[in-house]
Amino acid sequence: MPIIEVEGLTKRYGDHTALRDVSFSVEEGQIFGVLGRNGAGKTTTVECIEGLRRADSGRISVNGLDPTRHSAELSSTLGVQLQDGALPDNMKVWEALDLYSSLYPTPLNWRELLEEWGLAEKRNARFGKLSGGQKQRLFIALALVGDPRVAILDELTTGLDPQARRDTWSLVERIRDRGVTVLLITHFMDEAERLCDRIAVFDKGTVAAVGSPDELMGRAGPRQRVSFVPSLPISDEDLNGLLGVEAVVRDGDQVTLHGSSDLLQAVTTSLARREIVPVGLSVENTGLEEAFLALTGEERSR
Amino acid sequence: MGALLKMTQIETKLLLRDPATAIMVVALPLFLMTIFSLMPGFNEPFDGFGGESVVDTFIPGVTTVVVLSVLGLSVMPVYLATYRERGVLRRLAVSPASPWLLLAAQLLVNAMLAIAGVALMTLFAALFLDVSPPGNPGGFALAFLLATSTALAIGTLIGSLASNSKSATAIGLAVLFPLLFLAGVWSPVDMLPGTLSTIGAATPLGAGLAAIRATWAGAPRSQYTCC
Repeated sequence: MPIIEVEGLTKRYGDHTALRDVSFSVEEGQIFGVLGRNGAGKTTTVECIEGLRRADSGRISVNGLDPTRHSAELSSTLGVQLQDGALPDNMKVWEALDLYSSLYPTPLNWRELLEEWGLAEKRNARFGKLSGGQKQRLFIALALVGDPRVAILDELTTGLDPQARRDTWSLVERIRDRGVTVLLITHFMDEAERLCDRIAVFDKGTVAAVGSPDELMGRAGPRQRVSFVPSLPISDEDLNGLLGVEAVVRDGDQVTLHGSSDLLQAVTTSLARREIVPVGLSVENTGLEEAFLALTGEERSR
Repeated sequence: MGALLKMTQIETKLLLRDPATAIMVVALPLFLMTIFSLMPGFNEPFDGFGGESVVDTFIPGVTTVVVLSVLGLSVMPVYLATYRERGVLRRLAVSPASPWLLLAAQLLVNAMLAIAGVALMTLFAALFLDVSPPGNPGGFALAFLLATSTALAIGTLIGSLASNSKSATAIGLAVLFPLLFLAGVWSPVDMLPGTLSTIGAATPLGAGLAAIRATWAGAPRSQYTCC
């Protein structure tokens, strides 16, 4: 049974329809991605789930609770990291954890969280003096201090440098490994592809597609592109007969094969058997980004 | 209850870590009392105050009202609006904490600061400026607490309406100065021209100042309950 169910959510601001018939469900223990550009309706949807906003119509159930009617019970099962949340600049790290742990009925030991999220050295530092990455880790610790069933992480890595982003990704996996379901809101394709078990692709206030990254990429088209110039001629039929090949494109001598992600191995083995050398072999994995563009009907940038 | 205690402790620490506010609340009344007691004639018996000196009657009440109204109408609403502007309230809104928790903590902290400021002022004035302490201490405490609650109540309203710290500052000052004027902080309310004096007596700070002045001078309850 899904831990989060969203059905037919609609939200209007005046003439502007922010959400139109948004539906998806999240299974317990997953990292579920809410992926889309800025303004696609991600944050509005999540704010409805958090109970910060009320949808015009539709139904939301989180752990069996309706956010609009049971906001008090709901907030103790949800751990939220907000895109635009903050703490007073003069509040110290340990004070924030101490305070927030006192707000929940069954809090975790915040001293252990301090250690676990690498904040022990910064326990007496003031919020205003923390780096971006340290603030994010503090927000994650605050989101977890109430021992939630679901953690909602909104644009967690926006504004972080590449190294800090990668570090944060492993933190997200650690949250799931604790058994907490994660709702991850992001506009980074690589982040969603790398972390999420399932993804809802948002586009202009609607859900364009839901599925695992592989499913989405599969739905959108071939997942690996292998290009080479064969040292001896080879027919299209022979190429099409290879395992995993879905399309053959010729450009002069150059052959480009589109297919599943294990394409390369099948091609090289088969060519070797025919004693054909693939000259100038190049392989490209077509990632979620391409799938996203196809699913949201956007012009390909190339 | 544990959460309220914790929230109040932390809000107290935060207020003390912002030294400008704490120093102003503690130092401003001492400064005002000292200046006024040095003014020529303020220590002399004054006919307008029934033969009492200005420093013994008018000034302590005015100083008290200035302190509590600056706290209530300026400091607290700006604090709350800054919290809203920065996202502190949003973060709190997604926790199980009721909004009352932060409001109650803010009210407690500011009330405590007002009490500390006025208590220190009274002690300082009695020890160093030879100003007699409140003649009716119980009455004074009651009048002070009522006036403080009133100022904090108006401040809570401002803090809940203002979307950011700039507008809270602007609204706070726009409310503070007329109210102080009508309360008779610059010139005693009974010396304001007729209509203004009637309006002044009916404003929260005007009524507060009247009760605070009367109880400081030692009037029994029967004499400071107007109407």
